[in-house]
Amino acid sequence: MLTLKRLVAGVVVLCGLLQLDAGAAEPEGGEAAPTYLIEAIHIRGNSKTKDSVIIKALQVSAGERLSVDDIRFELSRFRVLSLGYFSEVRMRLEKGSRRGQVILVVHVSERGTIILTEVFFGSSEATSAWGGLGVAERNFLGYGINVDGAFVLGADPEVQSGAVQQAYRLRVSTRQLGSGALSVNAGFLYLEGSEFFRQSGTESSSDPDDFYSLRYRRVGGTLGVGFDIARFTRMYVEYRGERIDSNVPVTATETGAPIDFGIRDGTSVLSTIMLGLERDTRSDPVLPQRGGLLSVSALFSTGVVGSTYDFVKLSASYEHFFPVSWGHIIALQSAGGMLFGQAPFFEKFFIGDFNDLVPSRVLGLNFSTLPSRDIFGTSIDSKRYEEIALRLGVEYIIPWFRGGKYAYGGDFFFNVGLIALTSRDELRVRDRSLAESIPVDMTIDAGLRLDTFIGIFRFSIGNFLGRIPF
Amino acid sequence: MRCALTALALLTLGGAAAADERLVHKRARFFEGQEVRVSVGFRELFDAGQRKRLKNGFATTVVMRIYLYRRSGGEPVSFAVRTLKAYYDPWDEHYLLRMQDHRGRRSRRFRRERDVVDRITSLWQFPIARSDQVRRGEQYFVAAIAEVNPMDEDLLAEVRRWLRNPHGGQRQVGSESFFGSFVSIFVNNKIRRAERTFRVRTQPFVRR
Repeated sequence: MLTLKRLVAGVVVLCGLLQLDAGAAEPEGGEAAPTYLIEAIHIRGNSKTKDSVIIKALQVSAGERLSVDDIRFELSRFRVLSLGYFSEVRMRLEKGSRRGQVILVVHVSERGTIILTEVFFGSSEATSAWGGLGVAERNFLGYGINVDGAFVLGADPEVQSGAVQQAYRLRVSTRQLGSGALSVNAGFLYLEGSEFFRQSGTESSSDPDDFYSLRYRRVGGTLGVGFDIARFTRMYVEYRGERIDSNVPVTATETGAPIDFGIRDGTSVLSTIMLGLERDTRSDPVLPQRGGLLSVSALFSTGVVGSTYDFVKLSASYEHFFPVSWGHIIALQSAGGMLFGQAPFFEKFFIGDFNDLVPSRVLGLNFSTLPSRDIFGTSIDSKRYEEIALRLGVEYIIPWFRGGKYAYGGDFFFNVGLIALTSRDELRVRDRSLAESIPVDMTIDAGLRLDTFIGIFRFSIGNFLGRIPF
Repeated sequence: MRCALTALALLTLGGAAAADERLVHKRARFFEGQEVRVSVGFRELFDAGQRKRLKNGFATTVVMRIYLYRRSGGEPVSFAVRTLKAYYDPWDEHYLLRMQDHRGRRSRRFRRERDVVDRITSLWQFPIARSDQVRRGEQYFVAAIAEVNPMDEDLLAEVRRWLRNPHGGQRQVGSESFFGSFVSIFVNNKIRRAERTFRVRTQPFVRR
């Protein structure tokens, strides 16, 4: 009897196997994807990165019962990859201790996390050469903490009373982990500057002999937090405290007017609180094809928090990308801000940060005496650090390629815009209409943006034109 | 400058050479009846890595978009989508294959990897058009695009959102360094529309 039972069972199993190999018949509508209880999560392949850093990044956890179709498994893989510490992340399910239970095995391949983040170099009439770089360790001691440092050093400027300019910055930040999780960042800055103020010559002159240099030192730090307030919206709060030392001379321009250096003589303190909001709906952070990026911030400096300077700085920028039917992209861009109160000059809006044809600041230092071109003859060439700034622009983007092994994508771009830079006093006291009193200039730029395995490169005409005196 | 241009050229050439989308010409069999059916295989869609991943317990998805074109050109005469999902069950040690197309939803189980790979890398007497859609004496061909594990737009958007601001700090208005930020260095080559995309074109056929 027992033998017959075994025989029948054997035939049943054999039939089952034969049916399986031929493709077993299906119930109408199809069988549901398997569902398992995750018994445990095992991390393999990591020698430096702590298990907890990887487990925190996963979108699933032990004890959950999930379908193998659940999108959170795929999201988990990308979440771990997006930490930037691994060249490969593979996941698989292994049998657990009981039927219906599985062990999620996450296998990672670690990669070097020390990277070059920034390269600075340039020359101008005022400073024959400046250069520097930034380096970051993105996974400090395996705890997922980002530590990055940067420096820039310039040659002795050709400007009266000028001195070598140098700046050093160190930042530490945690990654954003989990939905809405807090990220914390702290920074340190040491800067010895020599800012150039015009004392003679025409407004369009960039001759270093026409400028006077103000030497100053900034030492301080920042402490900030960031958190999600909606799916695409993030908020930031940051405190900044700096000690500023400057020996402000009593000097005047050739017309006898005193030079406004925009900084307190001796030692002063800059203590600010910044509230920021960012909404990013772009399709890609590097080479976007649709969506927009909104950035708004308010910076408060007041004696209440120990600052020598009382001012409020409001800034906003928005750019939106529209794909057009023939495969190219048009981006509309706007950026601007207003400053109320008495701020040190470096907190004001600098022409080089808005005009692509004027060198921008590097780690807060300006190395050039080049003014804006003043194409429309609105005296914008006299503007350097001002309280009101606006830039409106349009960019035409021609996607070149996507999906390479070493270069992931490349876009050609052509950008044209209008910039306005002025002060509230100038708008208040005027002998023309408001529209005619606003100093306006045109800015243009064209070049190539490349997203590569060693970073994001931007080759642009503006970068080179901005270094040529006219 | 020369170094920069050389690097640029190398990056570009590397990028172009590595593009993972190929058009392959395949010999297909066509069957006529009330419907025109096609049988064609493209096992190259699954390399050794893909085969290994089949056994990881998660879903492996293949989405095929199948078009019938006149050889003389113009819009497709017909279009069909076929979605296949394969799962390996570590407890029962078999593969479950779920298939969905215009004929409905079905599932089958397979013991051997080879059998499930055969199923997801081929069309077997797949109906591509009603016979009244295909004129006698005119030349047609079938074009198919097969994607392995395609990512939907929501998933892509979510992943890219994580890459936007890894340091947690806010950009400053008007500031931009020469080399920009390094937001997506390690991840961009992993974020693709699909792990693998395969384009197939058959030889022309004429309805008798």
